[in-house]
Amino acid sequence: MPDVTLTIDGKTVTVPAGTNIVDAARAGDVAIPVFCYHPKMKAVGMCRMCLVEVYTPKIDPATRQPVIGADGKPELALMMNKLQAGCVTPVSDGMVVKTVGERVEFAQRGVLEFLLTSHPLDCPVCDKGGECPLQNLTMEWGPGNSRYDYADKHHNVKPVALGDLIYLDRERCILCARCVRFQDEIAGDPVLGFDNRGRNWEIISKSEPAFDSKFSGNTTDICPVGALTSSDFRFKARVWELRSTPSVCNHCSVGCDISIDMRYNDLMRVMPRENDFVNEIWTCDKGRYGMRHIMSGERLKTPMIRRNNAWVAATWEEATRYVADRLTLVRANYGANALGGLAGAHLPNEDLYLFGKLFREVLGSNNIDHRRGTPDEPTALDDLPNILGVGAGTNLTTLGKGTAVLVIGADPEEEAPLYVLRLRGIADRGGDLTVVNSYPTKLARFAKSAVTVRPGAEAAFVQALLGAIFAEGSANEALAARLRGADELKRSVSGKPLADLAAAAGVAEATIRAIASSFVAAENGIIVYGRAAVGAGPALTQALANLALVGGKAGRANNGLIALTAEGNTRGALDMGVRPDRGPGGAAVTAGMSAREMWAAAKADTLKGMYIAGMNPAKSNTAVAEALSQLEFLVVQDLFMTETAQLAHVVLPVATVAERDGTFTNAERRVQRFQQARRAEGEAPADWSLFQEVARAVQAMAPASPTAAPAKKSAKARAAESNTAVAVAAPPASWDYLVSSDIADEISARVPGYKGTSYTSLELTRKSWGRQPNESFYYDGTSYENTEGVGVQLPALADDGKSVFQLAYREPAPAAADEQFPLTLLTVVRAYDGGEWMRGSKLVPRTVPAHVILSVADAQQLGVGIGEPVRISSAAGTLELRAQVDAGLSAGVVLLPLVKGADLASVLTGPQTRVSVAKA
Amino acid sequence: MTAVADPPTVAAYPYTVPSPQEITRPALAGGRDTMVLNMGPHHPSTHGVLRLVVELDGETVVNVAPDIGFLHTGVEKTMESKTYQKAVVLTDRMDYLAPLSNNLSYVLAVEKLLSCVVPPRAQIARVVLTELQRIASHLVWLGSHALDLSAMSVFLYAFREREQILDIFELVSGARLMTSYFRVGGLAYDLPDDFTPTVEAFLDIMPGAADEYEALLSGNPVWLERTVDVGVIDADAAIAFGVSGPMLRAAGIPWDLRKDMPYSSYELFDFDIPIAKKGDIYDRYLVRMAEIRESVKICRQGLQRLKDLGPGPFTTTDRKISPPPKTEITHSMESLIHHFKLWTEGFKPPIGDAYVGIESPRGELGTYIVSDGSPKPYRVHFRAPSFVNLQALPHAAKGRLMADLVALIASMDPVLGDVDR
Amino acid sequence: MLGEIVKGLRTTFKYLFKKPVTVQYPEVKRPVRERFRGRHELKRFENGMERCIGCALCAAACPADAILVIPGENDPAHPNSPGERYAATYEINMLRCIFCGYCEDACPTNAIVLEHQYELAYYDRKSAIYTKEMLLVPPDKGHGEIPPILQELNRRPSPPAQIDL
Repeated sequence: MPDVTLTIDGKTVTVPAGTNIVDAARAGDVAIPVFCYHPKMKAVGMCRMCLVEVYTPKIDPATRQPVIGADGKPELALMMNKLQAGCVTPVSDGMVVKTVGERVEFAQRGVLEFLLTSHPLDCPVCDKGGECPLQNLTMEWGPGNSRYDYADKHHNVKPVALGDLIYLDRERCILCARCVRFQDEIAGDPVLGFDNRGRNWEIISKSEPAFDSKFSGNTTDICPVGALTSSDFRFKARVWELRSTPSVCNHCSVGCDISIDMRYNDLMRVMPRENDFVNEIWTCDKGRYGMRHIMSGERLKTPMIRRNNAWVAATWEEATRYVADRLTLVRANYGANALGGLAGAHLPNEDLYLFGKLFREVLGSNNIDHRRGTPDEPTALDDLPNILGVGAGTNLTTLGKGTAVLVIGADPEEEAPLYVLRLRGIADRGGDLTVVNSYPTKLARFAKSAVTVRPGAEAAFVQALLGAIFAEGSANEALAARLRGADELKRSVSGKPLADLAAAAGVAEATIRAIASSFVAAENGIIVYGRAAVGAGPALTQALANLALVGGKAGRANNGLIALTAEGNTRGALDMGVRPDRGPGGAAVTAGMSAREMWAAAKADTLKGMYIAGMNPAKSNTAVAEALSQLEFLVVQDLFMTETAQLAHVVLPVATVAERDGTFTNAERRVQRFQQARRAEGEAPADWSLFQEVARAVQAMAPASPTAAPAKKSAKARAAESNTAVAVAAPPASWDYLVSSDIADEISARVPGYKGTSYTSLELTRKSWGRQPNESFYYDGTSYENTEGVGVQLPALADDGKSVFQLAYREPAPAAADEQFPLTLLTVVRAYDGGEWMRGSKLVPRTVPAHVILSVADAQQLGVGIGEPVRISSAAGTLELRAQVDAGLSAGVVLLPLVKGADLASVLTGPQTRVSVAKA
Repeated sequence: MTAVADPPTVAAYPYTVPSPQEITRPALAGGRDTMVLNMGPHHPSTHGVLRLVVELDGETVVNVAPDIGFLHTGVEKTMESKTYQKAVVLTDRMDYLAPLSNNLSYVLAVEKLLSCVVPPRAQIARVVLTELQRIASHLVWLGSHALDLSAMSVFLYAFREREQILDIFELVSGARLMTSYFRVGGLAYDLPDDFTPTVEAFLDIMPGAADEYEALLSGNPVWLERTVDVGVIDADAAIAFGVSGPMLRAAGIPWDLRKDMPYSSYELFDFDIPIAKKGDIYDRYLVRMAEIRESVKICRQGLQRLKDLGPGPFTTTDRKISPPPKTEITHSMESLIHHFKLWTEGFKPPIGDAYVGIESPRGELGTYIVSDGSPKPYRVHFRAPSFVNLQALPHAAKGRLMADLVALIASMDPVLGDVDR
Repeated sequence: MLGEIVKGLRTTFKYLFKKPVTVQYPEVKRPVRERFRGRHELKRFENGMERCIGCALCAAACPADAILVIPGENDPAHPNSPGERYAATYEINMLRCIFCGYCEDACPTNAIVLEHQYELAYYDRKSAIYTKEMLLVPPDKGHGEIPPILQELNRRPSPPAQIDL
């Protein structure tokens, strides 16, 4: 857009045309006070706080030329002959703005005085006090005393609950509509609205349950007064008493930057920390209210050893030595291959790296995994983002017009909520958002085209897109020189007419053509895929890779693939080598057992000892619980006495994210650092520290005593093992890490791709939304300015500009018909899944109960009403659950939410399970 | 080429301050040896925790080096983490014999930063109270000075009168010593109704009490023997060392900030600057005693002015600086917000710096403040008169007897809280 | 010389026949002035409710960081103080306190008042921390009406103009 030059308070400012005066003034370091305006939302001009004097050059009506005054300068005229609201007035060339002066100050004082006439004298009891824009603006621009009679103040019963998380104090509300607009424009849950008129004008919740949004907490941040307060922080502390520690949320793969606000050693609240690359200035309720578990009284405090079927408290040294002892014994008796390890993918990179090192280099076993080994997990591990992931420097906040986003097989609202806001933002700014899924998602509402495909037909759909590209000859040539096998691919795909391909996907040919051409034509293209897409198998991921490459949408910033992974640090777990098939950074190793194979081996008595850190596989899974109870030795390292921990022989408590330092890698492969905010209860150390203690104790033990006969055999086995289980070419492990940055340094040295992720470089910041020193006046409490680092995005392999890619064609699996099990069951993620992180949280009432979702057609056919129990049968077994009906769901698809309380393993056979449903 | 003048000979410069490390034990001419004596820091006649390293030849002081820092409290640094208004309480604790003077110097500097106008009633009240503070401080000096030279009665009489002044402070501020009564913008609270009669009653007895002290000391041969021509700091030396206050005026230089750079409406008052000639201990005694009488004069004028002014605001009406009266905050939203923000966050002076010096009982007490625009000072520094005056001690003590050193310290009236801050 | 001594002793002898100005503390206690800043008290309203609403302005104003306030939400059935908020914990560390009176100045409800007791001594540091129970005056020592801003009950429904007519 062309630039416009104007003068604000004597300063000359050049800004893009279309900018409003408030933003232009910000660019010139001039503060114009605002209440309703927020840079992240459209201006509405409701509060009139930003009134300024605006002069424009006089235009001679005859000549349409500016009138030149006697002094040779254009003559100016006051716009509309009165003050203008700066937030809704766009700038124009030659404009002169005055933000000070008697007239403007009179208006500012007047607006503030009006706002304060009906404001209750609540500052001393109000939680916003101290970070309240109304207070700040009154101090800076407002009158010093009141002319209003106190007896005439407006009274209301206070507070009213807008939902169970957010309370509204109607007396304090200044009706700026920031919350309503946030819900409408940004969150996309238009659940708030205005009611009544005049002095009874008030905010209400329109949804059932009240204020049903996963982003409700953000409204309390942007509320410029104390009208909206969160039940989580009500009357907890004063804001100036809080000590903020930069942290990163590990509840999902977005990796929102958060700030953990502590008073002494107690968690008071969680606030978003701005990072335009990740979460802008928002965070979802899961991150905001889901950190209470760190303060839970149920947390484990001391290590415990099971002796004679009773828990006995032990010292740290005793416990780690016992663990090392028993692990060594298992190895001596049965060989290293009888040992297996599982580490949760919400653990930081440092822990995951050392866990891998402990198993591969010290215990000599490759049987490690970060998955739970449930039947619905895809067999293949997805490394595609490391090759074709979005390029370094990607910033979704800057994208809009000219960007095509294809979301396939993902439900961002449940899997990674913040992506709803970010992808919707791209659509709002003019980008093309296409949502392809086999069941309805919230994101589809904001899509330019939303396509429902049959489960299993996702790959066929992408194949059809490729077909359309080839048919129209519109393939992007940007990467053509680096592609191998393009012709073969073209031949295989174009082998069928486009109409057939479209029919295989079950989508109209015109739709296919439209999506394909908009994707290829766009300047930037991003493909987001999630759980369902990975579950659909390698045919789909390969097809997506082909699409990105043929479309030329890889190898540069703002282009490529984003995989929404199951847990907060799954990307890190894959990179750190907590997987059976590869070592850190993809180093080749002899493949060990995956989690699912470990359960089978445990059942078959070939796996004897397990080390499980930060994972609860026995939850809602009786088969795994059975397998675990057969083990000779099980050590569990966790925060709580989980179902898995109850089966263990040793339980080791650990520190939470808030109690230690570390790094996470998010879905866009951005490595971010978090810092310690509090001391752990019982001085529980970080996971990595326990791994180190165990490793040291194992190493200190002499080679296992060769007394018993099986030991001899196992020695042979061990020798065989050590020949094959060479993990990475590295100097002998020296286990002398003092702080987590020691491990981070080793990671950046030994894991390709993690070069440049030292803690120092992770701490570099970047001014995000042009926040200025004086902005605390009106955006106070909005979120925390990021002063502690925005992290480092790892480059994708394609970023180097040289690497070549082999295109390959995989035939999409044809739809399988099954008489006995006519329906397809998909497991779906739910954000409020009842996991350990929810303990003590205000979100507990929102926990999704175990249920099954049927389509309207299927429900009618079965005669099942909402809430009635149904029996689901598959080749694996049966399961009885209550039914819900989703009007948007296609017939033949059954959804099974992954929440606490349903023994899913009893019915699942894979990512997509053929089932039959009957009324129970 | 132009001729370059020779630099002044440094060795000849007589006004130097030795450091404690310099004093070793050089042999004197004639094979005699000197003795190094450590005096303090816990010596009663050092008036606090002043340590002196004294080199003696017999009874004669050859050299003396003050060693300070035993009462360093980090007041200046601590202020950087307090809001401007909160930092007032820290100033009380520097020169603990004249807390109100410290308050005044600090608040004047902040007010200068803010370009804040203080109402006349507060200005006059500040004058009256700091003059009372001057009398109180001089009474402590007199009492302890006399006590150091073995005159016990004066100490008791002087403290008797001082007690009345402290009672006045308790009457107005609620505290006898750590008053924190002057706040940025004016006073903490209005003067109480019985302020004028109580002060008048004191002013009536004070000149008579001063006569009484002088009857005990002025012609006393022991007193004269110990003070006349002892510890001379002449005008040249005083200027060279930056000495200020009564010590400077005792050397004959009529320099007084109340007259020369008036603050807080001192220009409205009619009073004299007492001076003496020689700059010995006796002259300092004379000057301070005369100052007590002048202060009484100023106080009387101040009370008259307060009466003439009548009731009025005691602190600035600018709500951006001074919190509103409590009666307002129960019904006025604007007032409540200002009250809340001023007590939690404080006001934000513009970016800049300010220096204000006042005439404290000990000399020029200056406050230098740098503001970075935040509610807390970026840097605060005090030009403490005790610290500067103490530099002249070695100069005046050299060549005199050890016993004279005690008299000299007392006559300089150092307050170690002020020296170290 | 002799004359000077006589002159000095005359002053001394004069006082032989005057009453001493000293008091025999602790048997005799010198009365303090009305504004004296001694040990704090937390006041109550006439109806026995706590004046303190847990706003923590005193803690914010305290230059010595001597005050700890942890607020809580009033149970509407049994409120400790008028309004929504009250002080669940209120502690003053008397060893840190410098008795400057800023807390009193900052208190919006005149709940905390520096009273006249000045004899504060402890055998250990822990007992220098005065809890809310120690600071709070007995219920019968309350004074004053609850100001309208803090009155939850009997509030007029909005808009007030409709009722006034």
